[in-house]
Amino acid sequence: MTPAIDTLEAAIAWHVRLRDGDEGDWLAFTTWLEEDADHSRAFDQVSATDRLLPAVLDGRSPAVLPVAVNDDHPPAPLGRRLRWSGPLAAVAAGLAIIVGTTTWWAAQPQFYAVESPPGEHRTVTMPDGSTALLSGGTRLVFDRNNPRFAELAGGEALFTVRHDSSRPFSLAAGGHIVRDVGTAFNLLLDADRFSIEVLHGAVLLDPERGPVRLGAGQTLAAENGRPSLIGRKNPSTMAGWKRGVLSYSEVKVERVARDLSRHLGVQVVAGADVAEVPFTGSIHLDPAAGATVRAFSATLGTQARQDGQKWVIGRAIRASR
Amino acid sequence: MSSINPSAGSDRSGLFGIFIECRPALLRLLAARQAAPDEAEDILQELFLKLRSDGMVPVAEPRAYLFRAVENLLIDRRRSSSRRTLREDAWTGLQAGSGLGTDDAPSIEQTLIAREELAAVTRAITALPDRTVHALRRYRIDGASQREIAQEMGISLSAVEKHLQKAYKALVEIRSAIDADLSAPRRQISDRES
Repeated sequence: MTPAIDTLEAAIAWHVRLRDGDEGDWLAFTTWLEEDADHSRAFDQVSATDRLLPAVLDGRSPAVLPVAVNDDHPPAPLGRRLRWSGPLAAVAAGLAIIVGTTTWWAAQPQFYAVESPPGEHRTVTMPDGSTALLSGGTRLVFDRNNPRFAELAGGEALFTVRHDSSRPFSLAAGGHIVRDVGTAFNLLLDADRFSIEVLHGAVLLDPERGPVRLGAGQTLAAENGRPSLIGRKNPSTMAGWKRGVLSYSEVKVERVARDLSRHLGVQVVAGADVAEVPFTGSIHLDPAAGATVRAFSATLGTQARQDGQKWVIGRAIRASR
Repeated sequence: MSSINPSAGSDRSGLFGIFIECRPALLRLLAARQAAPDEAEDILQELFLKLRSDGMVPVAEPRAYLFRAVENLLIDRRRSSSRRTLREDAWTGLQAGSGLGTDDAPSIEQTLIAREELAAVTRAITALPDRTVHALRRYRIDGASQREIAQEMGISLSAVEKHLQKAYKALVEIRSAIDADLSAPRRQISDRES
């Protein structure tokens, strides 16, 4: 299906040569095409890419998307490309660069963090009556100078926002901006996942760069390095953690373990034999962490054991991590 | 109503003459580009009409001009029948900043994919050396010839060619990777709680 690399390279060489080429180049190009039907396909691919270049090169392209906390490649300078306007611009631009770390915020006295320890929920009521219900191991950063702005630095929270069209509420998370349009939504952010569930109302994702509107019953999940998935879900089943239920659709056990650690307040680790296994199903959070981990392990057809302070699912502990 | 402007007649007949002369070679190019015979004829007909209605442009290399015109017409057709078209239109939509907040926006998913693809290509460009991006910009946006770019940058023609090839390679590869990813079976996240 995809032409071989050397075919692509040849197609690129032709493409570059032909723009300023003469008749002889075009005839030689025709001969090259006649050698193999793949050559024409490769050339199509190069042409299609070429057509998109003006949009990318003239600086109108949107900013870099989901930035993982542990991303080894720092995003390119964003200021030039970001079009965010208004008083939030400086704050938001800073956010996009420092995603996931707290050092920058800590240096700014106007920003303060509210955290919930793993295994505990916490409710924050904002000055306008909007609320954020934090699940375990969640960190929210607020701006004293702007009560209609917050950052989810990590974890998962359910936001119920009082709508004010003259001052919309903006939530930054993982390089995204979620703007409410009068709404309740659940937002999860961890090292490589960003997911929104809209319980009612609607949100605009990244209003300043190709906004995506999500209405009640819609979900969006972005995994590092993969295209985002949009889905539908019954709002009454959203933010399940609030009712002690976590549900998954083909999520790696390693990630489920990470969530369990956050919700149960004990470290849960996936062994190498199960870490990459996709899990689909629901987990009922039992106040007794061990019971939850054991029940989950049983559904995977494996066992759990306690190793000092932590729980290990499966047989072996991963070598690194 | 429309008629050939007589004042440009001689130039045009010149180019028409070359067009007639080049017809077999143009058809051969189209066949090599995997165009069906009737599609190829359509394209040549379209080019013929274009040559007649367009204001005459001085052409230094009239034959190369015809080949290029044929290739462009082919690409336009291919694009309008391509699976990617929607996605690329979504790119354009992003650029125009349209589709804000309407409930029946064409497809959220298309917009998202387009946006991520655009971001990926942007990332790929920012990962390229500055001089490579400069050469690409001069070549593709400003329309500078490779010879001009070589002079400006104080490098050889083949070095310019290398810069451009490197840039295209990085971008074509990232797009192939995205296509491969998208053609893998995709799931909808649906009602997950029992």
